[in-house]
Amino acid sequence: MRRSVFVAGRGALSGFGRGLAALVTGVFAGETALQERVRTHAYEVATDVVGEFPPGTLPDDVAENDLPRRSAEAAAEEAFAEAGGPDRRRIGLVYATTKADMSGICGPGEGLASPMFVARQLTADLGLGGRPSAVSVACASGVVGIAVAARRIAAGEVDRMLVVASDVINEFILRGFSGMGALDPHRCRPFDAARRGVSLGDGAGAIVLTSDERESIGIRVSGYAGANDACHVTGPDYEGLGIGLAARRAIEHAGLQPTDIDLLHLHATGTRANDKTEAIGLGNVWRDHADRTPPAFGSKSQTGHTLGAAGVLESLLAIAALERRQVPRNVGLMDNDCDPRLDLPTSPRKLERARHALKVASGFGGVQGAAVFSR
Amino acid sequence: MNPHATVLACATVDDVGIFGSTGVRALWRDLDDDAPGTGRTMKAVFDKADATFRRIDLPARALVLACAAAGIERALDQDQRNRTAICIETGIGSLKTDLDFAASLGDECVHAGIFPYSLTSTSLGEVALRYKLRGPTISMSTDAASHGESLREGLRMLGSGDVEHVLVGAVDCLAEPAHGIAAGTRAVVVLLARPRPGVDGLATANWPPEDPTCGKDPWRAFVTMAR
Repeated sequence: MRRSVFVAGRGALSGFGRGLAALVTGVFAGETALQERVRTHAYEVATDVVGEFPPGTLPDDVAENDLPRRSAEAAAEEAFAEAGGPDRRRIGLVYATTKADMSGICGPGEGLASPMFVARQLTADLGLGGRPSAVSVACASGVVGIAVAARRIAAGEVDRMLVVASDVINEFILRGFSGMGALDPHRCRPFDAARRGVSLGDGAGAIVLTSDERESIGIRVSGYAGANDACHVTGPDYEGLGIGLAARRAIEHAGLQPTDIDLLHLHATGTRANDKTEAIGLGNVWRDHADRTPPAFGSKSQTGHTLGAAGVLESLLAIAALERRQVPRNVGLMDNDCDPRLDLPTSPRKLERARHALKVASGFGGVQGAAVFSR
Repeated sequence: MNPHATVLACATVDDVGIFGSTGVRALWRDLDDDAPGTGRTMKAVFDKADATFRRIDLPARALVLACAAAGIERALDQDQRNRTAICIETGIGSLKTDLDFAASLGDECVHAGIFPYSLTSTSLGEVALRYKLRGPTISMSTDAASHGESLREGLRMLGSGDVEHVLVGAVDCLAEPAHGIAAGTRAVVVLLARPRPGVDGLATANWPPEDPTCGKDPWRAFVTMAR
């Protein structure tokens, strides 16, 4: 018998600024934080726009290499505040990121892109007494991190866990994606026929999980699962096999049927291959219930792709959609050329029923993650 | 929680050679190769063609060879492999790739071909696609005080009933010293199954010590078993 896992607190830093409210308000208003590059303007890459933290999000003297740690810390503090200031001596950490601190890779610092290095720092900074862990599964890191933490609570090992995910764009990441031809020169347009790639963004998200329903904000992590395309290390399976498998498994893990899902937060990067195969793979999940496919949205055209942080930030948006009983519009989508079975609203959609939200994520290495949040 | 699991197979790749519970014992000096192998290694040791092996990063090569030496394809049928999880830990991760890519930032064109391998999950993906392992995939970052994280996570996944089989292990691979870290290769993979009546396997895997001061290497027993 596995214990239930509830959400007790949330925190976020994004291109919309500091705080979950800024992120949720911006996304549900249909705004975008993708702006002309400022902090990263010196890097020669094939795009003009990114979703950088705006000035004032963190103190101006924080170095770029230290932003993953500082933004994670700020997001965690916000989450702890919402959780009512729990006893941190009994809380464990799962830190999720792609590369974290690269100060020793691209400069004379100590950070050798080891997520555990930052996890140790965060444990000390935040005064956590539990064991830290660090996961790095590319852009699926956040969702996988939630699963790793939830599994520990469900198993009865701990009563509370903090999941923090952060990634900040730098020259290494921007030029890597640019060199692969994966960046849209302008704001990304997931699922649109004119899409040309991804836009990147800074991000940090935090979730406090608890076994105690009385500490909950009214949201339960009801299911989580993963899969691998086992097809190609950077490209998706042509039929979205992995993402469909992860979605089905998470729904089953939650004890639900596909028709129970009321809304879907997508990975939706804006690359031609991702969006096409994601639509097919998820469309197949509701193959036998075409008239009951839940409305789906992505938010990378608003925040940029925040890489390892995306899974947590976007899970927070899925939860916000449940709370607001509304799916925001898919910003940048005008002409959908992907599998039409995926229901992609181009204007805000009120939900008659808002009980279960599914969040999916994909990462290099064929990694797929999915989580179900329930009210 | 103190779950345990049945060890179905294990293998190790280090600076001496490739050793697996299938009986594979190939020494680099006999192969006239260095760890973790070259384009001819898969053919020479396993009589198996692998056209892209020479292009993949060092941790992925070590893991792919270890999985071949463990006989993953013989231990599980395809239906089982479709649901088998991968959970591998690493300390220095893709440090060599990171340094190589960072060095190319000074060039007009960056070395985009190696950029995906700066993510440790890509190395795990090379294992997944070769052995068609379609369960959850988790790459964990560890340090000296957290060795055995992937073993613990694998045991949790089995104990909670989330999967029936999981490939756990550890990999670190550096061709030459960097940032004070010695060069060397060590990959360990262990295929675990949820205990079932009638399936004895090679041994039982237990929860590794969590006290970092005890000085026990949670992978040592599996390395010994593979050798």
